[in-house]
Amino acid sequence: MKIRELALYTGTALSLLTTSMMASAAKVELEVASWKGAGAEVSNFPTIIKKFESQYPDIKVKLNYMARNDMVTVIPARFQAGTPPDVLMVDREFISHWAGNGQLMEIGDQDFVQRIKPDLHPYLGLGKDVYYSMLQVSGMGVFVNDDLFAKAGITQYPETISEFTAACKKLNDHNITPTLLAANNGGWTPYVFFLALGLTDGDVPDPGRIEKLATGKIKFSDDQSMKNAFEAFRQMIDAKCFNPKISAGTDPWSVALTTFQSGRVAMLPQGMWNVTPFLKDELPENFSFHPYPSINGKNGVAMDYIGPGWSIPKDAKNVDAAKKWIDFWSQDENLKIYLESDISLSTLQDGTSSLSQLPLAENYVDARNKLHFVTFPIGSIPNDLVDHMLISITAFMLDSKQDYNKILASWDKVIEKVLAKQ
Amino acid sequence: MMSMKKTLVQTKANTLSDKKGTTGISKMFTKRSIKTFSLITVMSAIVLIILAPVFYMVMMSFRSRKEIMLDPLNLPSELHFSNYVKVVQDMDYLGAIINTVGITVSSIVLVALISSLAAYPLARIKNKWTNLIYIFFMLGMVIPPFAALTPLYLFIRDLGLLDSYIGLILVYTVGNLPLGVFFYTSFMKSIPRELEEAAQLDGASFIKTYWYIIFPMLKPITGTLAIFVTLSCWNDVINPLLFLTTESKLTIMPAVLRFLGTYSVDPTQLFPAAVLASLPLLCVFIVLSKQVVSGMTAGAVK
Repeated sequence: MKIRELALYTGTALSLLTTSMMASAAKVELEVASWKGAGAEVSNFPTIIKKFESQYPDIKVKLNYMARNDMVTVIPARFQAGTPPDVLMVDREFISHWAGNGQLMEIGDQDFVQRIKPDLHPYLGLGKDVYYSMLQVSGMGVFVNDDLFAKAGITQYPETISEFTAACKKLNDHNITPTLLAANNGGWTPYVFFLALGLTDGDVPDPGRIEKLATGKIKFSDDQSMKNAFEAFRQMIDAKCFNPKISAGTDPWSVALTTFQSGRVAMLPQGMWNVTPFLKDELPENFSFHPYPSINGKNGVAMDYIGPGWSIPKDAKNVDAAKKWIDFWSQDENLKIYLESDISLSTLQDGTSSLSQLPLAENYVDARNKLHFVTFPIGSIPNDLVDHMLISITAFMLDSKQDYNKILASWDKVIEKVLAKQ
Repeated sequence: MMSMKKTLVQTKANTLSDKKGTTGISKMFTKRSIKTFSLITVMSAIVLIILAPVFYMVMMSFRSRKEIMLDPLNLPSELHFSNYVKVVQDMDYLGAIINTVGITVSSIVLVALISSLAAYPLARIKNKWTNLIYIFFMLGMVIPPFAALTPLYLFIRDLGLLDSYIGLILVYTVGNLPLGVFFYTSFMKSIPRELEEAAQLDGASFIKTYWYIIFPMLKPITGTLAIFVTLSCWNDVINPLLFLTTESKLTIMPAVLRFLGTYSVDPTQLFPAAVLASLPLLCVFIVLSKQVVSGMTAGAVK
């Protein structure tokens, strides 16, 4: 009797083990490498992964989270070894490197690509080849502490540089620091502000301008909008909108944010992605997000920042599962879960944009809807010129009396050198 | 009369010389005090400069996010232990520490054993071949780690050791071998040959001589090497990220860096995580401080 029982239990245990082993063997493990989804940027990933796994019970998602900067080191080694993750989070910069090296799969024929807004298609790859499915369009503009504006008696956000400098005067009269243009760690914030000013050639900017400038069809030194951008910087410095030296030494990713959040500065040019943490902290208590003031038009100009998205490496093992993953994310009901936590604009046609639902970003969304926006030119400007621009704009900030025509001419020279190499 | 005069002169001279001596001593004493005081002041300032960021990190780890934003340099108004509780839960602290300790200890043992074995003949046999081999080992120290990343990855892949602890231990062992060989070879050169000759006279084989005579004498330099290997394993981010893909296998530093977003930082998570990550290392160094110092100064005075 006992032997029979033992045999029965053993048999049952073995069959259960075999069944579970077969079930796990049948499951595809989809490795997703991403710089969002854990740690400081959870972005509702656990909810989305759970939903995905319940829709596709045969796929188990293995999220390999790493900082974006670490991807630069880790992923190329895996590409070369022929063992890349199944799905990769990428942005325009990664696309230009990895797709350019033939390490990513062309996905232009996939249905999910057709769901993306047509005006974003030129940014999905290289030339006509599509390499990634973009998740969000983020943006850059100016955060405003509404309480400090009210204290200085400013009732309307400045749309032009002259209105901006007038606002700075009012703020200074009330002993309020108007702006912090944090330039430490590479001079990124002034660079973006400058591009927003210089790429705008009117109220509805020509989106093709950057291409013409980067290919030498328009000379920087001949371009009045670029000259006006330098003039705008000069006017802001003269009006004491910001202290160039303090700004040059301030880190935009940490100190600048805490300075603005603690109410020590009225305006902060920064990225839309900060809306979420500012709201979470309830600091500043009352704030809003606006387009950059314009020097070449009458309306403020928003700056689109082409966001990250999913791509499939050429040597990915589980291509079908990877396509299902991207397809899943490219449905509004799923993407909006992500966008709820990472406030930005949806890339899908008729997609739900979390930013549009926020009254604090009304002015920004309005500017964008009226096509008063330019796109941040990731990958469009040659790297040599980007480095040169970053340095020379910060240098101009520190010495605004210098002749900007010489700076613009030096940019043209860099373009000439790059073109000569090609 | 003459003798009285002599005594008086003698006494005067003695008093004068005493006065001179006392002034000299007090002058010397004052000089020394000033020197000591200045030294203590300078040393205290250096210690303060070094400890200030650590103090700031610990203080910040107990503050609420709002407090940090409003007044970044102030002390906490109340201690928010909840920051630590949340971080411990989010990062699987215990698991990450066990992984790190396991990998670090294994790497130290392997590096110490292999590099001391390699260093023994290099220190004892002097010809052009051993010199060449020694230079070959030293070349390993000048290769930038990033340049070796892809070949190492291919190697570990071919061994079928990706996403395994053994793979990462191998990487650390290989990475620290040149340093180990360098340390041991220099140290072994200072050990008198007579000791080995005595052992050989007693009939000890090469291996026995190494194991019973040489290896025990390497204790101080092994301590120093252990410190270097521990720091390189403990603080590494890239290798664990590349060679381990399963989250539960990650070591402590990549787990901490998860709290550092691409465009944002949550100080209520990052600071406690940084404190927790450095805590075990700090405890080890406090407990073993004597050995650490003796290891660092080993071979400094002959």
